[in-house]
Amino acid sequence: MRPPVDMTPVADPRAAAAECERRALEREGIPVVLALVDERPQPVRCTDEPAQAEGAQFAALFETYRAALAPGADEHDAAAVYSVVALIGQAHVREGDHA
Amino acid sequence: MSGPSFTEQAQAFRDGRLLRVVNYHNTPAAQREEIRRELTGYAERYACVLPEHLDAFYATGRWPLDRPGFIPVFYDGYRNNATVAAPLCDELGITAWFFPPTGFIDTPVAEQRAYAEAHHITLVESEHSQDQLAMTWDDLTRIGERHVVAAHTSSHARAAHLVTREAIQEEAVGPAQKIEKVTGRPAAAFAWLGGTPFDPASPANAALRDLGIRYCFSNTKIQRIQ
Repeated sequence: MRPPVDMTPVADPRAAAAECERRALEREGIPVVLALVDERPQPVRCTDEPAQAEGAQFAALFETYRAALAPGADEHDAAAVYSVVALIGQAHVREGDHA
Repeated sequence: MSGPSFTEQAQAFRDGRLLRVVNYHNTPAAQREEIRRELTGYAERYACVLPEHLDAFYATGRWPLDRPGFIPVFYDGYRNNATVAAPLCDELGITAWFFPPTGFIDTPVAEQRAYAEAHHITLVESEHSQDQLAMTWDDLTRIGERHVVAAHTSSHARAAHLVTREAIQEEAVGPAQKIEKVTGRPAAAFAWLGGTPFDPASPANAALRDLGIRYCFSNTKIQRIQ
């Protein structure tokens, strides 16, 4: 088993985000952390403790990177939301970076 | 509001509603070892998520897995997904999800390059000398025996462009039905070109929900739609 992925925010989010944008989507595996959303009338509530624990870490990263990358972005700016999601994937999921 | 938002994303993470996904498109032979290394690393840390695992999470709020989950996704029906990605996944014991635009598979080999260029299916330089660019239906049948096959329209379409009943049948419903016929299993998920999310006000999205498809994959979220 590999060691846990480093969940410390990257030192320079803007530089890391620029690196994300340079990746070639057509021939590279792009890791992302997606939200699980329930559109049914009675949405499920997560009661999975490990998922809640890592969710808190990802939420903190999300707020940190949002503040760094898109401080004035519109709440519904899809591209800005994706830029944060992509940075989280690149820095905290991508195989090899922290192996 | 069905589009992404900062609040929705942050709240989902705070609640523990999240999933790691790795989005691939081309998987050329020239990158076989790089892809093998990546997939090996992911599989050592994370457990492959199948539709039944997602179903369980959305039914109970808990994952039936001993590790955090992840989904490797291969988009666009490239031949190299069948000759490189799927065999690598088989070798490594990984179950992946494949989202092929069925019109690409249906296109005669001699016309596949032009079709790709006209439908936002990006090719890689290392395969410019190849003729066969799309996987075949036989490839997809074999992939469906061990992996998840999901719907990605016929011609790599955007939901917003599908308005008429005929267009929705041809681009959304028909491809999902064809996938079920070929793999023997109904598609559990779909995705649109551009990674737009499920929007219940969109006729094309509603048609796929009415067909029984349970999940929409988009750029920032996976939605359980029924």
